Amino acid sequence: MEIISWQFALFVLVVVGVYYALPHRAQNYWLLIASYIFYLTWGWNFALVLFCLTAFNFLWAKRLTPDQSRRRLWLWIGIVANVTLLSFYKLNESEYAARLGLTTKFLLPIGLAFYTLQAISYLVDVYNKVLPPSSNWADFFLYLSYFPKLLAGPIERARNFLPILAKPRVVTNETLAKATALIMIGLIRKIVIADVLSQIILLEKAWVGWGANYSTPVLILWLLSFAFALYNDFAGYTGIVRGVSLLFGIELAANFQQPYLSRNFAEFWNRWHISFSHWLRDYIYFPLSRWLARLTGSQRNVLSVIVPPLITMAASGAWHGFNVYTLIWGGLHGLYQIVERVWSLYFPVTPPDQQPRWRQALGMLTVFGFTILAWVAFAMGTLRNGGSAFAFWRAISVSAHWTTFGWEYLLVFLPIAFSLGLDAIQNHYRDEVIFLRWNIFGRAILFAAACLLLFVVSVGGAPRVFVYQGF
Amino acid sequence: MQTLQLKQPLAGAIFLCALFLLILGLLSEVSLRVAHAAQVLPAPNMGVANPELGIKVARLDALAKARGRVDCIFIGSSAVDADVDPQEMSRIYQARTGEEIVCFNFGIAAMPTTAAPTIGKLLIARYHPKILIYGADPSVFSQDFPGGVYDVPWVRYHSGDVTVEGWLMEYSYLYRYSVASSDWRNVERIELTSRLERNISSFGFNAYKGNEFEEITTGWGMAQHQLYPPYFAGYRDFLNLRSTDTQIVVFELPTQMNFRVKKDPADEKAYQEQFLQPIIAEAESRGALFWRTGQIVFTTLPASHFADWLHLNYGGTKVFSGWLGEQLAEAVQQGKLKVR
Repeated sequence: MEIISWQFALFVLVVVGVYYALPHRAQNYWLLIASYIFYLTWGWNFALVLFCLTAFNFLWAKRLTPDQSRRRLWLWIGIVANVTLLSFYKLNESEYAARLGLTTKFLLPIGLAFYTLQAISYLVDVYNKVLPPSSNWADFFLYLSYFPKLLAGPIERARNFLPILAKPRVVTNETLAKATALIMIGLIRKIVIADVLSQIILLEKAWVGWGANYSTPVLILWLLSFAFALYNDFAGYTGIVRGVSLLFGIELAANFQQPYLSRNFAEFWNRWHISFSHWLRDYIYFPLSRWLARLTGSQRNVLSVIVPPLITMAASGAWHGFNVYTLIWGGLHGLYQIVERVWSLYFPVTPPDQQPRWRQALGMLTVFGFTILAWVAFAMGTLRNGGSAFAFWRAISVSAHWTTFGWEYLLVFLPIAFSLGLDAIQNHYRDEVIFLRWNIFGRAILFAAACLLLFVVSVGGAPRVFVYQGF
Repeated sequence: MQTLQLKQPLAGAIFLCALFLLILGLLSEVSLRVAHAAQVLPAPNMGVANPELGIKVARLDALAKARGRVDCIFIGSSAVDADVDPQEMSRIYQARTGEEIVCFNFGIAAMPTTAAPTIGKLLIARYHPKILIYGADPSVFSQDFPGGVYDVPWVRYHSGDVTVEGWLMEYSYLYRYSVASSDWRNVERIELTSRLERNISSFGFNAYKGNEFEEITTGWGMAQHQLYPPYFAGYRDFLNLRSTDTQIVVFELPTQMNFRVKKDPADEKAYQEQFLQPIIAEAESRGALFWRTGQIVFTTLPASHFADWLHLNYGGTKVFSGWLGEQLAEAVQQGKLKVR
């Protein structure tokens, strides 16, 4: 059941309707049943994998309490077990496994990469005594299976999510208004911006013989389209599922905060796929940095500067897919962070908000420029259509040519401008649902206009599958 | 504690949203109707993947409105699209009979014979032409013919299959243009649509240019002349559209003579026996006129008059359309056809 479908809308309506009629404890059981029903629509075997992984982590966490012996060993076994499961499925669908004839008929369960990370964070947090192992199996099972976040996050922490489940929830006018606003903004980002951008210059066709068939401006415009389409696709997804979750009175973490307005790479990773980058930071970057600092005795040591960002971003690349290009993408971002870190060691760094406007703008352009260059590798790695990132980079640099460029290609700037405008408003007011501050007439007109726009765009073609559902 | 704790003015907000949605929807509908009438917007595709259908419908609407009537409509695939210039045909017809005739070319690239009956019904229902003229060549009866899909709600609506989508497409310009908006979101579609908009005349003629071939002796559809049964059934259903108000004519489309003379004589025999004779017999058994192109391919349509093996270029179209005008004039003068 796709998130943007009438079936899902009906499913949510039924689940919400029953949910409101139930007492608190029964609501959690009901959400758990609904979540598994939702997952079963994607495949019974997926639900089985989720169930087994959840049961394992629920039981395993009990070995990690302070009174247990060999806790560290049990923690590592737990982590390795989760990573092994994820790696098995990821490797299974990689092109290398296919080349070696090692693929099996087991398909990567949708959402596995997301709920595995949540399970690992739970084990680590229990080990670190951040929270006790859950004694309520239903709440824990719901933590990993909660359907609004099951397919592609946000990656919630048990320490935040389980307490929400333990308390009664309240849905007021304000909650409903925010839920509706998040869903509408999410749909606009997905259907009006991302899907339209993905169609203007068809990605699939751009891969074949681009150096010869497409001029450099066309390739650059395609790259811009890809960057904004990917962002709005995922931000749109997150907005929709956060809105759906709010209907149950459960607030999920924000995943995006106008990332293309970032003025340095550290800021970018605090604004892009936030729940994932914070996971990487808390469970790989920080522990690794601390370990290296202890080992070398300094945080300014070469190893401490180079290794944590490189390993962290390589892990991020591997999480997105086991192939050379996603690793290159991760490696490039690791490199960007190393350069930024080295710079900060030798030159005093002013916080971005205190910098003059021109420096902020320069920072934004620099970060955006390097980010989209890295998106080339990400695109080759995730779209899997045989393209070569190196050929692309060459086609937009040393072998640039300027023929075959029609005015129609400039259409990409319409959705891009829409995306940037939306970002600028949200960023200026530091409020993702700023429109709710408008008076009732303004909100009603905006809502009606958004509905009409969605109708016009969606009638012309079915929505595309969310990119991050593939991970 | 109850989870849902709502208070007024939720109902008021929902009402306002619905009201503004209605107002915006109506405003859009009116604006689109005005823009469509003023022809400032590209023609919508009417739900068919090929944007040519929408452009032809828009052109035909405009022609019917300007002239008050449409006497005859040509129908068929890309070969009809390229081979028939209704203006040239009408000019010759008028020169022979002294009467003006209003004809339109509704040939659409990759339209299969199976779509001809429903498209024919649509044309009869909307424009009431006296004559429907179908152009036939072996390729459209071949199993390999890459026919496009024209079985869409709007086309079916005119055959009596009333659905919400078909009804909305017919009566709501907002819906029509919303569906068509997909044509303006992709550079290749934009390029195709713009080219067709530029190329198709107000009489529906879509001129092919150039001359790609002198020596090509193979082409899909020419390798075999067997009539693929579902396509032949579509042709038969089209012939059944004949009524007291609508006459049906079928004509043989010219194919480049290299195929007809350079190839194995056995192939020419197969062309005659497996393709031509059955479709002539079927047309005549159902009371339709059949015009054989016959010798004109060899005498007045040299290779230089073709854009490729099947489609005439502008020079060829002028000659062939004139010939069609003569055939029509002769049929009317002999009382075989009535134009009004």
